[in-house]
Amino acid sequence: MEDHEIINLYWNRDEAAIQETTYKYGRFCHSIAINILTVPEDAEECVSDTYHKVWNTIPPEKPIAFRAWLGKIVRNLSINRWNHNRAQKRYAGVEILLSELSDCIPDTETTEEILETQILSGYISDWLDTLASMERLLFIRRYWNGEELKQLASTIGTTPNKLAGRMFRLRKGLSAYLTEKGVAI
Amino acid sequence: MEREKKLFDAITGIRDDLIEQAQDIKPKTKGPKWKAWAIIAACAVLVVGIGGIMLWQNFLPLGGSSGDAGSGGNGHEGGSTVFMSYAGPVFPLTLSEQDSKVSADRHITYDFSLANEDSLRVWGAGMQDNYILTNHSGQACRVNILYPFAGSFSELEKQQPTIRIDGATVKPTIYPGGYSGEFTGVYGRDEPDGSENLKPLDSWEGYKNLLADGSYQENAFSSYPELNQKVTVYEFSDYKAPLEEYRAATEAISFTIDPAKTTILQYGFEGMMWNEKGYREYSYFVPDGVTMRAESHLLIVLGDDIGDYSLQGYKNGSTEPGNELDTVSSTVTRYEGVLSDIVSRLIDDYFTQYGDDAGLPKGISKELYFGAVTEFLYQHGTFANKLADRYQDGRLMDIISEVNILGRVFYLEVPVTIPAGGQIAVTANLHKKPSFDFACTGSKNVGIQGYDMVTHLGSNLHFGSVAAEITNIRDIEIIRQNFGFDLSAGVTEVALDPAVEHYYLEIKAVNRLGKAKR
Repeated sequence: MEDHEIINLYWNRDEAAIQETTYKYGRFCHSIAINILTVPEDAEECVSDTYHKVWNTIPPEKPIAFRAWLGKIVRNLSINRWNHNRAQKRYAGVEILLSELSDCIPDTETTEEILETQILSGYISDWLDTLASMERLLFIRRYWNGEELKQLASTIGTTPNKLAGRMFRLRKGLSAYLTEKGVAI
Repeated sequence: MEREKKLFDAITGIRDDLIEQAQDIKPKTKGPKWKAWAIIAACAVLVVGIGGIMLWQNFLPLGGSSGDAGSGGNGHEGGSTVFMSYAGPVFPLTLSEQDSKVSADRHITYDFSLANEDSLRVWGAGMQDNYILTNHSGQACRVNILYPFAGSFSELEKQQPTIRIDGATVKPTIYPGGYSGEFTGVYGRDEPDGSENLKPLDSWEGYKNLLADGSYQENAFSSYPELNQKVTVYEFSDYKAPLEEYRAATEAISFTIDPAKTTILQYGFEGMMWNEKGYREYSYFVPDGVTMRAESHLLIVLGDDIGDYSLQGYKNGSTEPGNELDTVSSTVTRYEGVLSDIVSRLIDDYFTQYGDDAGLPKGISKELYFGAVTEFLYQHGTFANKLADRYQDGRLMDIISEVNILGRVFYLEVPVTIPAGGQIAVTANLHKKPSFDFACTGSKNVGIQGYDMVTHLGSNLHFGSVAAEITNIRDIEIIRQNFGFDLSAGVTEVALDPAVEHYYLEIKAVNRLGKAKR
């Protein structure tokens, strides 16, 4: 079923919408949640919460890029769950991701303007536009989809060690870009 | 909001078209394999579904989501911190056999120089662990000195200390101990008897428990057990499948055994189904020569042979009725051999396919690695008195892989002669990674680097004096310690009490702009 047809089901308040979403994007949503949380039952709950949120959000929303929109909801719910439970639970996926992201923090004095997240997203998108397609793919699959390095390395036919070096350079590249733009976080 | 989380949130909000492209784009590998990967991933989910979530946990780094892993940010006996990632203490020198004629004085230096001139912050410490060994007898004394250190095969090249005797670099013999950590259940504290996940040591007391009775060290120096079991091997080759159409084409072998009489080890299979009545099915994705699928597939049978078996091809990893694909085939060669020969060959195979270009980790001989794998099989694997749940499926590839990354204590042995009434100087130089908490975890200890040393744990030497020094301190500030350094007062060298078991130093790096890293 096409995305617009699924969205129409939501607009018609037809519960088959959730079934169709699960059928088409369930694995996609689950992979993001499990990559971030690494605790299966929490990931499962997060995906369920995603469907619930989608049901409550469409209408009035009518997302144009349904898959990306769904993925953003899963990411937000997953990071919120981590934020809420982190004192009691370990979530290896997000902890490693955040640890890696510390390399991307620009070396900028805090007297600079601290940007809103939305504006920062724009800067990161602009930086991604400057990358070769493979580098862009790698960054997004690792830091947006949260895919494990080992899995990603396997996908592109390289070793995890080699890919780790490549990812490090990408993170440093983002840091340098944000520093050059005077972005503070 | 912590900065890393803000970045995470900002990445969430990147443009939709960038996200969409990344989901669909084909990587520039040697062929259009992205869809293949997607199908494989889908199939892997199905395959994993049989073993359920527990098997999935195998793919997680070092213990996955266990709730028992170091929680970080916690206090600790004596005021030090339990870090999320624990690097282990620096151990004292010891002798292979106690010798009351020999005593030692120790002076350890922590050097917090920046790694490079353009480094942004200090990470890790250069350590010089100096000893003066004194022979109090009237005769020259020949002893084997042992320098223990915490590490893993995979990082050995960076972790292994350089040993100098009276200023001359020597080449020690290395003896790896077994896996230093433990296992825990999938649900951590809620499943204390489980052993599906790894549980690495997270405190110096863990090492104390490991080393206190001397058995760990003794095992490190004892001969490895033998793998002289006779086995029957079923090896797959000459794979054929319509991979252009079915990129995740799969072949499965199935048979029924008497579990009391037959044990199966496997290598290279991604899927497995079984039941308690003895039904077994092992399946693998047909190698395509491009993606990093296992290229060797062996079933190794211990005990009674498997007898008749069936081979069946499938369109993908789902080995369900209705998904059959009869154009998948292979040649299965049955032969008999000795397990040691097979495992030795598989170690080569593993590092050829998955290792760095150099194959085995640097500094490790094939014999040593083979011994470590053998030992692991007897301590935690198929031949263990208490088989860890993690290895109950007999996946040799997992064992060969994890022996590489698991933490252990290594011993460097050097024979030395101490002249009658004389002294020798022994120096160990190493770069010690810190213990730390992961960024943005909410821990108040994010950004703090921990360095533990123990004064006599595992050592049979009598230490007359122990002293510590800290150098190149411009780019650090001390957060917690029990050494007694006082940087503001210029106290950078202190005498330690050899009776105190454990000293800790926790520092924070100061960036080049003179501010503590946030």
